[in-house]
Amino acid sequence: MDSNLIIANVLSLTLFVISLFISLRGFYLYVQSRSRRLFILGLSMAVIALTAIAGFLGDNVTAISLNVDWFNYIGQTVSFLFILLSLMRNSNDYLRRLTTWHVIISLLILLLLFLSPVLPAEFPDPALTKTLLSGSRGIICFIIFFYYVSAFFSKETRFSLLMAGAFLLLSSGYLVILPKYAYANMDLLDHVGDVTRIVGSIILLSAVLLG
Amino acid sequence: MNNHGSDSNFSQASVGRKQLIITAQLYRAATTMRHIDELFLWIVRVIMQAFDIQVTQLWAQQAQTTGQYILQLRAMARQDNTLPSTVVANQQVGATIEYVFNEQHPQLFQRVDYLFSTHQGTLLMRYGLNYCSGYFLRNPARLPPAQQSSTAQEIPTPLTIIVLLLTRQPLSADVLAAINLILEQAIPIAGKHGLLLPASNSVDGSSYTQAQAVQQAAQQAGQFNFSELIPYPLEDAALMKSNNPFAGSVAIPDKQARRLYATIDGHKNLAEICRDLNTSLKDVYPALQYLLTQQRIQLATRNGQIINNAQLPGKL
Repeated sequence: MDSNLIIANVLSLTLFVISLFISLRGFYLYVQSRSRRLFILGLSMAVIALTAIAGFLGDNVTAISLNVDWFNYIGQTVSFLFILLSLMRNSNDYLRRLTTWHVIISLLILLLLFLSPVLPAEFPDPALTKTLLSGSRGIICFIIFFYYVSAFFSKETRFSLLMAGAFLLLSSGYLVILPKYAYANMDLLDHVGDVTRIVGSIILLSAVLLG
Repeated sequence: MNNHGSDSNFSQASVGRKQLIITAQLYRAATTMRHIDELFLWIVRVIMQAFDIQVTQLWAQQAQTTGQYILQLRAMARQDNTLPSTVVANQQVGATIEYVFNEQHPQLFQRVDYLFSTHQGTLLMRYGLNYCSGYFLRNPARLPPAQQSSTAQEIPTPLTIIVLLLTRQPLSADVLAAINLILEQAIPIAGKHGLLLPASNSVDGSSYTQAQAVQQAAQQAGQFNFSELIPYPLEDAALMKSNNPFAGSVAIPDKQARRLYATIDGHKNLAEICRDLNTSLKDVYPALQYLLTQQRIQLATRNGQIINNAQLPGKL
């Protein structure tokens, strides 16, 4: 197997397992607590888990053409965005409206997954489009990182420290791979980005288990 | 009495039976007691054993001849005797108890890191003491100075006590209500057996009771229609920021309280919520109190005036 594919597969499967675990646990705690923030977390991580497994299938299943990049980039961007938005305010009305929009937009994003066999393989102006879509994930994760840094300074907890670390690594992982969309022979950067995101995901899991 | 199993294993019926048994046993035991501190020690030990409470403390306000009031730890019981007493009875805990005294909430229920300082909260959680519940009780009958009192400056004081419970797991609404009933009944039992002194006729004593009467009259003057109050859900501001939601403290363990919380949307009043749940306000009141003490909700009038928990009746 191509070494590029090995690292990509490890990333996909790691992200899938960790996101799925957090999603299931988030939904379970939502049922126990009725906290809308937990519902948003559960739904976001469920979509991210789907993007991870879709990416794995897209890379490894060659019998049919699965153009999952649309779903992956947009799904992850939107999911991280809703996690960020859920941290911004506490009011019940705000979280209720946010939850409603999250469900609607997630259902629309799932359409991209179901339409992946028929979606165009290439993005229009791929260098720019992929940079924007991929980069937006990194920027949103970077903003979330700052939220957790701020939370850590106001109350020093292991949870906020680990979450800050996780989102810093996820953000770095997304941002460091941006040059590969514009330039050739960027495999090393791609690997660095993938490994960084693998470590970030593991720290995310550590945060929810040990924080 | 069954002392085994987690709090969630206490069914409503068994909790109710325990409360009745404990009250009956207290009535019998009080006949042999010579000092109120013996009753306090008996209560904290029995509550600890019956409801699987890790640490039970009883703090009382003590007046001195100088006119000052101090807080005294009159009784404490620990399930684990290897737990250093300095962890649960120290200056920081005393300062927090004093704050709770000043707030005068009839009941409180919180995670320890929400109530105590960061250092004290972390210390308690390290020993598995993750939650605290408190009961504030007041009575014009006077509390004699502590049996072990070493100073002549302490004088009989109108009874003002806080019972603090430190637990590993959150207590259910039924257990909280049962303990509240036991404590409320303990005071008249103590009075009947001569363990408390009658309310004072002195200037200080009458001022105290007059102040209480004025406070009650003021509350009654501003009374509201209870069923028209609107409960608002309170989202934990630190959830998913500083506090790990997966640590388990976010769940509402009481099923009835959880069911009630699910129907609260910040728009329906209590009457409408009871209609949706097909239940009466009296039946839903324990769950409502539980959510209030856990700070999951707050009550407000239609005009937006927030209702202090102290303004609510103890029971319906």
